[in-house]
Amino acid sequence: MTSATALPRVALAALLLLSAGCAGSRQDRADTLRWALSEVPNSLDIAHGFNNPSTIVQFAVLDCMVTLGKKGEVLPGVAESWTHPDPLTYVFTLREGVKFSDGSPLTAEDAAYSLSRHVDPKVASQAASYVTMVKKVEATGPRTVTVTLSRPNQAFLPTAALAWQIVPKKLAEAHPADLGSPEVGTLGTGPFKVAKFSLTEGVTLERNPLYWGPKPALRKIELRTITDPETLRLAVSSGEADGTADVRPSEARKWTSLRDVTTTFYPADNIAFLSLAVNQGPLKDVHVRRAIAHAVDRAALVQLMTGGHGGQADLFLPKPQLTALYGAALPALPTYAYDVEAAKAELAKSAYPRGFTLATPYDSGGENVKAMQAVAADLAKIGIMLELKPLPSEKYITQRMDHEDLAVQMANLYYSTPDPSEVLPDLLSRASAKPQGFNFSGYGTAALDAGLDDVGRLEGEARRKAITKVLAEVAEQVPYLPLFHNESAIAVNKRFTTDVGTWTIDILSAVRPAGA
Amino acid sequence: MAFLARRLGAAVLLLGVLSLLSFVLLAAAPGKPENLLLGPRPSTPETRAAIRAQFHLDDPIHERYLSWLGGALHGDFGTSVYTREPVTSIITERLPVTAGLATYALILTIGVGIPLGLAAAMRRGGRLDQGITLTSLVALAVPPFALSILLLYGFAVTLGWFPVFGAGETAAERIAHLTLPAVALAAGEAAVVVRQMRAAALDLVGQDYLTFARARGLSLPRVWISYALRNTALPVLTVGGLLLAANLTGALFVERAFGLPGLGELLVTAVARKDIPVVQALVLLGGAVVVVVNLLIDLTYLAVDPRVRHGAVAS
Repeated sequence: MTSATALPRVALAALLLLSAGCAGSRQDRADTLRWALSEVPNSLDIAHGFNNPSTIVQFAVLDCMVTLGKKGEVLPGVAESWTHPDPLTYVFTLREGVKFSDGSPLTAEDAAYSLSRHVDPKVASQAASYVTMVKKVEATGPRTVTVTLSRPNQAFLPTAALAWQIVPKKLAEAHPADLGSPEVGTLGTGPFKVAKFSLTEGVTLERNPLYWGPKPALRKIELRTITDPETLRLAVSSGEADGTADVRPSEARKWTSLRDVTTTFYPADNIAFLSLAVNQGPLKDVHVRRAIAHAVDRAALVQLMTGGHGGQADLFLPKPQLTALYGAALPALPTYAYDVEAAKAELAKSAYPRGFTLATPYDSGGENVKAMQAVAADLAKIGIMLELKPLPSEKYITQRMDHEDLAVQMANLYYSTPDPSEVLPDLLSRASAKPQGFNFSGYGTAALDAGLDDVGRLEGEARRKAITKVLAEVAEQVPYLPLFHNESAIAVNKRFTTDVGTWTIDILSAVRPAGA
Repeated sequence: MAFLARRLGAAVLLLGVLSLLSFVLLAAAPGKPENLLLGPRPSTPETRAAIRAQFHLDDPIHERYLSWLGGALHGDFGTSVYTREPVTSIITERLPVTAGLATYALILTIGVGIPLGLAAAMRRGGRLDQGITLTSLVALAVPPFALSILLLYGFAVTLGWFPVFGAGETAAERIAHLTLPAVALAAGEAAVVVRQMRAAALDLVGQDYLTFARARGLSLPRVWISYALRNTALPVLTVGGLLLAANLTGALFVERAFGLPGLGELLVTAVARKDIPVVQALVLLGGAVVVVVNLLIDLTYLAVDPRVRHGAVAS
């Protein structure tokens, strides 16, 4: 016999042996979690990796000064308590005996530096916009840290639950630009510590035995990246990965039909909207903007974009923020029901009774393609023709941030805290109506800026009133048309359970072995 | 020697032009790295200015190119804008995966393609030939990413013989992890080699020296290996080399479908993020691979075919 026929047999035998070996290694211990991410975590420091795949690892390793509870309330974190003696001052008292995972004690200096570093240009922090209101951070005692704000701001405390990740001062000072990179790594006081961090082989976390809080339910977490969404689903469905938080709402049904996987949905802290650039052309006319609001079939958009896992938005804030603020009793403000006749009537009141044409660039690689097409079809019914111009993502993002050709844009923005100050000033102040700002409508008045200041400054019922006033102005003037909220989803193998909600910061610690 | 020196000179020139072109094209392409880095989140002007300064984004383009070139000549390819890791370590981390996949796929391609192509030529017009030709047509027509998903469903999910994703850590794991991707990558390429081999071998069948070799009573393997295989080697070697170069730089779809952290995947994400240092290094690497592989092919020509050897010496 020639080797030509023997070779395939040998190869097949070798492959079968190998795959048998592989099947054997699948039997992992029950307290090891293999988590799948759709993108590579690029940095274990929020200053350089403020993105989902990176922060999910960061929050399992790094503690923040404070944290968020189930309803979005601010709870103690590394700080066991704090006082707020005047509108500009917060005094935090650290827990006793908190240690970094290498055994070194956490000092007030570490805690203070961990916040002030975000304003250092050498760090070039991606979280810098979260701490612009911070004037001074000082260690005022062995266990006290005092923060002085430049202006009163209710968003400071909830954003501290994300941005104020505690790292050792010595390490952070030595690595302003590359803390958290695979070469430098990071050191935290959180429930897990980093055993391995590689951009190609993923991240391995191990239980931190020095953690000050309750013992973490998992012993080990292995995070791997699978960029192809279908492969990711196959990996979870075959049990090769135990779970993922990267479930696309539009693919919800593919996930809920998996046999050994539990998929849980919860409201995302997001709002999708159309921005209408009010400073030029037909969109200057408020009747045109109201006509657009009446003409867009938002209920159909919800179905199209969220597959039933979302709802129509009438007020210009993420739904969980509205719930945290108003409870179930939302303020009654003007809304725009889908009504083509009403839209035509509004348009008739404007200077463009027969409609007009607008060049509308959109992101051809983004998730809003179908939605923009639906909006264009809706508006065509009343004579407003959107000339859709597809642009590659990079070009689109640059052009939008340079505030070129804004006209009608769609955005779906995700936030992290229950505080409306995270949303409203960015989208409505005159300061951010400039290139690189997020006020894509360009709408803004001195009175509205004062109203936004009130939102940041006031507390309690007075603040609720100030927010309602801003929302009422948006509803009245329609610089933005709120479209929908959607849900996020987390999928885990039945061997695990999760307790994840909108405000869960440390998602990995919320996963436990089933029955444990 | 003069031959080698000429080739080397041409290679250096080629790489220089390549690096300049890719640098200019990427710099001219729309998109600002700092925007892509900061994502859909408000940022402060200070942060954006600091990032631009850190990566010299505001310097004139010729200065940026020259400073990059200066570093590259000293082996310093800079730091990734996105991950802040040295580019060389990013690439060395991923190279083994892609090189492993490319080699594995090439072994499958050659191992399956050459014998099947020869067999088809020997049984020209017979059922075996028709079967092989038809199969290779189908293999050629199925795009690698579609085949990847099919293989995943069949062999990884339903049968559970192979892992779904990742590259594995130990050598045995690595082979198990790379088997399905290598098959997905090799299927179409093996089909090319089959067709090439069959065509080359068909030319031979009528040659007098082959008839004479048979008439001398030489054994069949001897006839096919020493006479036929050697004489068909040139076109097949050329195709094989090109396939290897393509595998090393462009196995993107297969890498993505199997969640392999390879170079193709890296190149696409780096281009999307305008991560110029990473793209530059990858373009140079790709160019170097093509140059080296072609040089190796030419040298193998010399080894395999005395006629080429004498021609080269004479010129």
